[in-house]
Amino acid sequence: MAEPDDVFPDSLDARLDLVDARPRFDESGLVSSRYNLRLNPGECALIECRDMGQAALFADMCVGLVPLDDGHVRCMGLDWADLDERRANALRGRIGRVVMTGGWVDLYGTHMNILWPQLHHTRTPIARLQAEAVHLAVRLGLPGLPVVPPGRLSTMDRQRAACVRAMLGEPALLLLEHPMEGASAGLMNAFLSLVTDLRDRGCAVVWLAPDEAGWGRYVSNATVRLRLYDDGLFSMRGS
Amino acid sequence: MSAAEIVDPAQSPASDRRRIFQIFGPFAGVLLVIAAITVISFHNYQMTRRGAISLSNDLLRSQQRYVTQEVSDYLAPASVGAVIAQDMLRDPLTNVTPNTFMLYGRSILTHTPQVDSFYIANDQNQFWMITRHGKDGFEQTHFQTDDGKQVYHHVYTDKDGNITGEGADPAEGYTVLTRPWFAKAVKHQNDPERALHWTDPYAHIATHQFIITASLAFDDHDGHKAVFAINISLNQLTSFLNSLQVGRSGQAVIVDMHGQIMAGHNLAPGQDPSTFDPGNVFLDPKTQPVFTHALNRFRIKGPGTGVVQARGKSYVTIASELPFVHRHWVLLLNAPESDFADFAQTARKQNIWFSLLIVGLASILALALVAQGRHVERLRKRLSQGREQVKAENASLLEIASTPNLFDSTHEVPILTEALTARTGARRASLWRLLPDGDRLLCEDAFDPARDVHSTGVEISRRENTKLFEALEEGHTLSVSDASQDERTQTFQRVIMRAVGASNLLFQPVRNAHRTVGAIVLEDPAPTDAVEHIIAIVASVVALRFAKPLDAGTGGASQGFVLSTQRQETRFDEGFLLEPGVADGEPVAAGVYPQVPVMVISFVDPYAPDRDSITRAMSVIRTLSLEIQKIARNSGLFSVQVVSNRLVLVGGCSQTPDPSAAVRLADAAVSIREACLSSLAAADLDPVFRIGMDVGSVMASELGEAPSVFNIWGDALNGAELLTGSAPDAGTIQVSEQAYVILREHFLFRARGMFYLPNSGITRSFILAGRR
Repeated sequence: MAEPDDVFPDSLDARLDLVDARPRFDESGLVSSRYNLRLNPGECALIECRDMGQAALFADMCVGLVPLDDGHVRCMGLDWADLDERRANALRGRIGRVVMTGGWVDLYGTHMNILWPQLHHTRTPIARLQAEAVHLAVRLGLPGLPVVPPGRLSTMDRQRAACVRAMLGEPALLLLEHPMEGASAGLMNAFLSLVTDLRDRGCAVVWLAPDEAGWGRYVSNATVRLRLYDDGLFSMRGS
Repeated sequence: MSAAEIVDPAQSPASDRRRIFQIFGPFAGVLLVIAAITVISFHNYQMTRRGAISLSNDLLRSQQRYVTQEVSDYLAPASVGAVIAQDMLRDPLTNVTPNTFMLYGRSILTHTPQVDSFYIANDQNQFWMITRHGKDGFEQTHFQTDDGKQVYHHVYTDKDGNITGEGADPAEGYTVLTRPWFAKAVKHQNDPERALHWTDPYAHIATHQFIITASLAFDDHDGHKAVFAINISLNQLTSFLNSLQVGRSGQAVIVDMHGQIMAGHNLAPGQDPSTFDPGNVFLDPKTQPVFTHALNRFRIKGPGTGVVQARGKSYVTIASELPFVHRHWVLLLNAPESDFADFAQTARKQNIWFSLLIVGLASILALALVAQGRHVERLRKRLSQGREQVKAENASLLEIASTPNLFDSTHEVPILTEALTARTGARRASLWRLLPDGDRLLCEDAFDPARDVHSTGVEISRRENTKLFEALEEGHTLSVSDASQDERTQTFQRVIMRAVGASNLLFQPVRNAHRTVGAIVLEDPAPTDAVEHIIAIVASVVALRFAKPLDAGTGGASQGFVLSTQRQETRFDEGFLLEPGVADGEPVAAGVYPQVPVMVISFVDPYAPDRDSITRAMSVIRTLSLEIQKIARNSGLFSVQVVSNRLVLVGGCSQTPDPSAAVRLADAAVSIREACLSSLAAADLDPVFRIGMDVGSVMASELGEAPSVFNIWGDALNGAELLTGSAPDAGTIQVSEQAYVILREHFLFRARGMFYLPNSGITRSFILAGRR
């Protein structure tokens, strides 16, 4: 018999499971409401949120960076509250994220920014990572893997690079904070194609955008559409 | 999850701790046992040793008392005899034989073997001596003057005093007054403590006996000083001490405070009696380190016991003062500790062996525990893996079961091959249908998980794979580790498996109603257990799917292709808006051209909801093509080729690099962009084109014959294609670094950044903004 403290990865576990999660307001800034959301492998939640700052805090809560007063936030069956720092960081290594603020280290080239998470969390050979990153970059409309510092890329190219970083290494969960802001139809098509591929392979997606235009015509492909208000997550009509 | 993960978040630290404890716990236990045994053994040994030493000390002390008593008894005649003699022999000494002295001497010499001789003398130089002579006789010696000569006059008597002979020895110059035994006795006559004077040991001149003299002075009746002396032979004492048994191999010795040996072990063994001076024998620190050490200890601490380390052994020693002589005589006894504590040593050795035995047994037990722990852990892992596998299989089963039209062979069901690859870890999984003629296997679905693609339509026939078809008909599962070496699968491996570099093959015939309908093929399946389950599930589904014959269309195919009789002329010599240039009437020679400017314009297929829109878009496209053709001609481009929704423009194609060709091409690009933008804007369509341009090597050749078609391919075209695909926005022209270097003087550029590509390294790309 397995010990109770032994948790094995379970492909049937929800990739993201918020159960009455009530964040601590004074430490996070996120309103202390109860949040409930369950995403199984391959599912996609489109969440509309006018305030992208709040959306970013919500994403932080999903990756266990926001302390909770009550409830649970589980990722792949693992409760963030039960994990020590090392395991929590390792679990975050399985999550791809596009953050509103960019999250770039401008002292190094964009390629390093893109490869770092996988270099840190895995033993995947660097050649394979490079090939995968180049493949993603080209699919997203970059002529290769950008090597200049992120600050010297154009906004759209930086967005493309952010998508490459998030999608590299077969993430189990994607947290996308308005990744297609101002994107052209071509970029959107490429992005949606990659998101669909990832979903087909079991990745769950949380896509946060300030309005419906943020996810274009992907609305019909979503598993659930929600609105993020101060007092929690609410279903949108038609979802 | 990824096997490359460094930290598995699902792995609980408690299990790590448990694993570490399983391995190191038993070893720590063994170490504790070893430590406990060592401490207990050491303690036992110390206790036993202490007890043994205490016991040996007691033994030595009793030995010492015994020796003291023996020595006391040995020397007692001297002190007692002297005291008696001083009372008996007060008559004045003359030349007349002192019969009382002689009688006394004979009596004592007869009964007391250690007494060597007696002297009596007075201050008038009278000297009488009695000693043993022969077996039972005595020798009476008198110092006298015969005929003016000083001689020792010897009278030999028997035991009753009857004279048996006489003799004389010269004694010229002899005076008894200067003899130490006489002078010192007289000197200390009135000192009650030192009245009995003991000389140092010396060798008796006549007898060569090692003797010591005790002398006592008294006053004669006539008032003269007389001295009575007894010579005690120390040889007897030495023999006694040598015969004394101290432990098993212990020794005893009597020394004075200066280390001079009075009697005892090894005094004059094998020495030449003529040269040996017993008055000059001292303890030798080299040969007698234990006694030397014991004496030194005695000097400092006084009498007592001790343990001395010498010659690699421990010796127990005891030192005590002998109180009978005025000079400090010290009795030293020693014995190796092992004589007494040997049983402790033996017990210690046995303890060590027993301890080693226990430690060995405990180590075996610990190893067994570790092995058992690891075994349990492996079992637990296998159980967990089994559980995981069951869950995963259930998930796959659920996916398969929820697939609509699962048993309808007219619907594709890609989930079957996907589930097979996911569960078996195979490099590729494929489903093959046996066509009704029974001579061909048709691949209905093959899934390559690495590339995430399904493929279909490949066919193998019995003619090339006779043995494989035989196996198929027999219904046996083939599991071949190296398909290229097996004659049944050799051809299959060359034709099908080599494409993905697979060598291991699992070939499972699918049977329905006792006849073979197809096969499941797994290439390079991972060596995992319990894959039969999912294969059996898929096989049963496939069996039902393949049970129905192919539809009419496919059925018709089985009878061979029927080529259309209405053949039309194949069009070869088309696809160029601008035919490749001909230099000097000569066509471009086939070969590699090092610096060819190539541009690719890609149009996105516009989504047209209705027929009118399509018609309108086509008219725009027609107009655009005319415009582009015109621009190309005016710019003097080498060729413009239409390939589907793309245009491939070549600025010039010559072996010598021609920068002007690139400039012409870029100029045309700007003109085409303007023309496209204005045409599309006029038709109210979005700008749905992208332009990429590169300068590099290409291979060019005329392909085919009558008509032959000019074609180029190579790095420059690939680069231009990539730049077109990755142009940041619609309507933009993206150029490579090589093109930028040539064009920068003539056009305005905006740098996009530096990008890495595995085959070409880091390159820069630029957006061509316009002419300067």
